[in-house]
Amino acid sequence: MSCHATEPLIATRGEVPENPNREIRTVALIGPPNSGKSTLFNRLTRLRQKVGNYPGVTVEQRVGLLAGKGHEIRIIDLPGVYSLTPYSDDERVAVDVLTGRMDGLPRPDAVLLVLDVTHLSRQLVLAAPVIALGLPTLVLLNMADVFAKGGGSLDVLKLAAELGAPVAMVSATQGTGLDVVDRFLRQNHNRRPDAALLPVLQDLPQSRKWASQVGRRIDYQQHLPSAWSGRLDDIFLHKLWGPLIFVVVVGAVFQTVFGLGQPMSTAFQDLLTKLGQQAAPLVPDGLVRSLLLDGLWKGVSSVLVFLPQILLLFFFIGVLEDSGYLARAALIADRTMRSVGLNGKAFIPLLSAYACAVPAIMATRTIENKRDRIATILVAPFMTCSARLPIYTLLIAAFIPNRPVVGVLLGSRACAMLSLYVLGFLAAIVTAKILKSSVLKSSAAPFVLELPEYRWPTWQSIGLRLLDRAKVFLRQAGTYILAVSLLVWVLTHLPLHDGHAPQLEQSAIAYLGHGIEPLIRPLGFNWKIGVGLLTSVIAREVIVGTLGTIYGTDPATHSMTLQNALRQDLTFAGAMALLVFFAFAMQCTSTLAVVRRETNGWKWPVVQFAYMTIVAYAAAFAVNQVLSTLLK
Amino acid sequence: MLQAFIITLREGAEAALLAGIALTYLTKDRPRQFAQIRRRRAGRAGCAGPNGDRRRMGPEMPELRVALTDLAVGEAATIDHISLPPGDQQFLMRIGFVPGVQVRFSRRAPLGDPSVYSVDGTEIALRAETASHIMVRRGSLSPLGDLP
Repeated sequence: MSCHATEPLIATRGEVPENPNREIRTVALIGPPNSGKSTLFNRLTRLRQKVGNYPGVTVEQRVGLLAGKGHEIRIIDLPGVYSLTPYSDDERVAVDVLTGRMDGLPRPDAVLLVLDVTHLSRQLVLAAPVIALGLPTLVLLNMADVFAKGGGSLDVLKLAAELGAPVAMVSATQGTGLDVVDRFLRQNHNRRPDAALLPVLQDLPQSRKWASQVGRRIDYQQHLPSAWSGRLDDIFLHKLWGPLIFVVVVGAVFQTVFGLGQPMSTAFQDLLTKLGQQAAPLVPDGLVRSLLLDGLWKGVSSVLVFLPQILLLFFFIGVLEDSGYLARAALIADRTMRSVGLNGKAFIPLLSAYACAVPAIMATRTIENKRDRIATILVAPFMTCSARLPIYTLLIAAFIPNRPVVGVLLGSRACAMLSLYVLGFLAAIVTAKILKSSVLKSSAAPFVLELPEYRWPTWQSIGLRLLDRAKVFLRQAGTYILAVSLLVWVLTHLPLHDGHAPQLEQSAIAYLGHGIEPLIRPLGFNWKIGVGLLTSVIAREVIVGTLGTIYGTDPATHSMTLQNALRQDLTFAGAMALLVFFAFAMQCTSTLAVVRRETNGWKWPVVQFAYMTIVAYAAAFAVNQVLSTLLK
Repeated sequence: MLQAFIITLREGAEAALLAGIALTYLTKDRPRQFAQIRRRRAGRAGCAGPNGDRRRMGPEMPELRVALTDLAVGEAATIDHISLPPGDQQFLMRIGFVPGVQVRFSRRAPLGDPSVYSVDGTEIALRAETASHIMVRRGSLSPLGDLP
């Protein structure tokens, strides 16, 4: 190991604490990846940190307040680390926070070291350097329930004596044994752990040997992993059944999101429309009613109706992720990832890009290789994120008749949706291939994938995640989409003639739309879609809100649903071109902002935006030209 | 709404059928599974004494340095060294592939390549390109003796 990385240890070991009786105000949670720190953090703070059954879910420090009584104690949740010699950016974050070198965060007064007791001999390696930092440390042996059930045992008192720090068995998922944290934090800590007892070894085989010796001295009996995990893997990773189940699972998710989500959305839409009609008499007729109902309500509600489908999708992703099946899916999919030269670690970020590219790009911090990391960041926005769902669902429901394709198993609409996902994935793969064989060539880092034991997903965890997603979605609707709808409505009513709104074709928005029409005409889009494309640069779902407002204000389409209005106003070829355009285009300011932050500059976001827009334009052009010639 | 519900229901039936077939396969396979668990328990009991492992490996197996990829499915061995650049070496050690630790080849991925190895009670998948550089000693005792 390099000397440079060990400096913080040497610097802090001999340090005399300025005020040994100081109350604990800030406490850091540290532990190896997938040891359950975030679950514990959520328990302690009642916050909703995202947790998942695979390593590397937390890539940034999170701060929360200890829930409950008494004075305020801040808890910092850190990314998982294997050692205090940082190798990747997320590990550097953890070490910087612990040593007080992170801007805006005070040095923690105490440390909660979380170790997965079911894998203690490996995890114990981290204990020595952490305790040697000299801060009051409580060692929490997590997953005690699983450990006890599997017949594992150890002598907690002996371990505490070995480490010179208090040790407690807890279960973050069950919430058992956690009162000890509270007691620990409210104590006065005059006595610091005696770091001299512990060998802070820089040689991993050596510290591993030390950990094994400690394991023997504390009578550590490893638990027997439940036979179920292995038995399930016999099915899910079977030569024949494995890939088959993979395909069935993916197909079933899409079919249900469409089959069950569509009627739910329709019912929700009816409800929202009725609400609007009920509210209509309450406002005076005229400009105000038009603004509130045709402008704002139609704009916002046209996006809101997709909430049920998005929640359904997130429900399935949550179940797959928490149960541990996602890691198996990654294993099955690895062949494809490798053929394009992408780092195996890229799979998890790319998979989470199906929800949203922003957390996915942050999750690339687990990739040690800089070039691999940038390549993954650049391709992540091609994955079909949930912001594309509204426009996809809208156009598919409007233009593709519902016919069975594979019996009742897969309908044509689910099939179309699936093809769009595949299209995005292919774009990501091809782009990665190009990048990896040219500007971002690098030697492949070893591919490593931990397969966690299967666990039952808990309703609480999935419920919290759905709640979070719903909140984000509603916030978007309440801010961006509301603001854009307002702007679009105002533009449809300008310039005023004697206090009356102009015909739509004479309005400012039509002027704007017609201005860019020559550019988008070859793609089969009219000027209204053009305005939608302009506003959707902010975020993809904004186009639906914009179209809702424009068609809602237009007297010709005023009383129609958005679906019917579009069906009348757009050709089939144009609609398909629009779908393809959205599959490829980079229309998300939040993603661009996060790419800029993660790559420290404007170069990559600009390249990415230009590249994706050009690809989207070319692909939409091709689709429109080919389809309109074929359908003539 | 009703139609969607019926579709989902039928799909559920389909999935149940699949699970049923898979379970049949498992039941057929069960004796081997149980044998493995019994063997594992025996190995654990024998951990304290030096004879536990030798008995398991059998005397016919000579001490040999081979790559991890040369092991048979289900076979255990002790990690000897990793012949990769220091950075990669460090990386593999940090996730558990430390020289002296026991490792077992637990299964192959469906499409053949990444293989799953059990080390320190964790199942970790590696590609053959990586695993072929991890050298192990067959049939020798692990000084750290951590096989679950």
